[in-house]
Amino acid sequence: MFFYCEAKSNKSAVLDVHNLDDLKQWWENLDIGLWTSTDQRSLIEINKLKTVKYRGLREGLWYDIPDSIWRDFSFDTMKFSYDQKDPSLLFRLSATYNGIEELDLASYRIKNLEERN
Amino acid sequence: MIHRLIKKLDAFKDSIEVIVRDVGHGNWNEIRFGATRIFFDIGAQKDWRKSKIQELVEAADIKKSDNIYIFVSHWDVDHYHAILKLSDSELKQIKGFFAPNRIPKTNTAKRVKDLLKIAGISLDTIPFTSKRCIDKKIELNLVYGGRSLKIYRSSQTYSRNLDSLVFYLETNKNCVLLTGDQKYEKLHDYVISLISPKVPMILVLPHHGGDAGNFNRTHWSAHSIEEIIISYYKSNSYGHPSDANWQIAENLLISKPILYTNDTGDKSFFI
Repeated sequence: MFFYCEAKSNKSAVLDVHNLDDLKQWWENLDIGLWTSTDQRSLIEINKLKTVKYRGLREGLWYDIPDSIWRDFSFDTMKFSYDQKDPSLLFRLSATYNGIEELDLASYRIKNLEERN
Repeated sequence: MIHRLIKKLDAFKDSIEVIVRDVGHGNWNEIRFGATRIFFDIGAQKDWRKSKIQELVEAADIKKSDNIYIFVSHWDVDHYHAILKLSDSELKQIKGFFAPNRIPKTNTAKRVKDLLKIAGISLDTIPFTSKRCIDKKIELNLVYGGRSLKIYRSSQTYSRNLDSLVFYLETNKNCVLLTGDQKYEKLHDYVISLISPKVPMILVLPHHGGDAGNFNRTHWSAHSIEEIIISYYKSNSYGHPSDANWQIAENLLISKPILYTNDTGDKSFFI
């Protein structure tokens, strides 16, 4: 599954995806919860990330992160629930890393998905 | 369309209003003259909720008589977030939407493109500029220039922040540098040092006062700086603005405080 690093700081990041079909497939693969098809949002907040030094995420780059990596994350679908009275316009999901190992996310870097007009 | 807009600005005889909107940890600046409003970015803090973004849009007070032109400095959501909350009638006031040509194929960028398409607004992209020097430096080159407004575009780069537009606006009273998240050395070397402004500068610090290359006090102190504004919100996880940049900015202003948004309201200047 392809993820775009929209922003990152020390132990947190904001990821986006290529499209909602991919996100839905990933969501179902990981059994994250109910999928709302009318919800157009796609940003994912990542918390408590641990990465190998110099092998973390970089803003503006794309990564093909396998589902196996996400098994060590817990997901909070309520924080940005679409049914809230005052939802985010952008964020859909919050994910927290619970693993012990430092992740080498740079190894999942792929060529940027972008259009040039 | 951009050439016509610049000519219109050049022909305008009254004061031009420049607004740095208080949009949390994001950027939304405005150049306003007559019924023409140029938004340089239309962003807002990423994690702000729908009602807060709605408040920002309402505060912008878009009227049916307004002619709005939006320039997105670069494709980071904190620089275009608020467009997602414009109503159909507000979208109708947009006469042009311009942005760098390298668009990430993200779902969020696609939402903006779809929104524009449905509203019948063309997305006009501004391509990378060709390099002028035979070196490896990323350049910032003039792509549109009138007497008042000059628009710069970077040469090819894979850095999202550097892959941007920069605005330089000048009147007989002041000049204004709207920077997006561009680097200090590019802003200095390719804009300010080449223009050598004769009027005091109003500088919106790049990247919310955070990491943006080398903010060299010696370089910038060679120019008269009247105001420095930082568009940020204190509860951000990025450590913006940096203490070092804040200190340099304070030193450049000497006897005046730095202006900042941080929930203190919009900052407006008539130049």
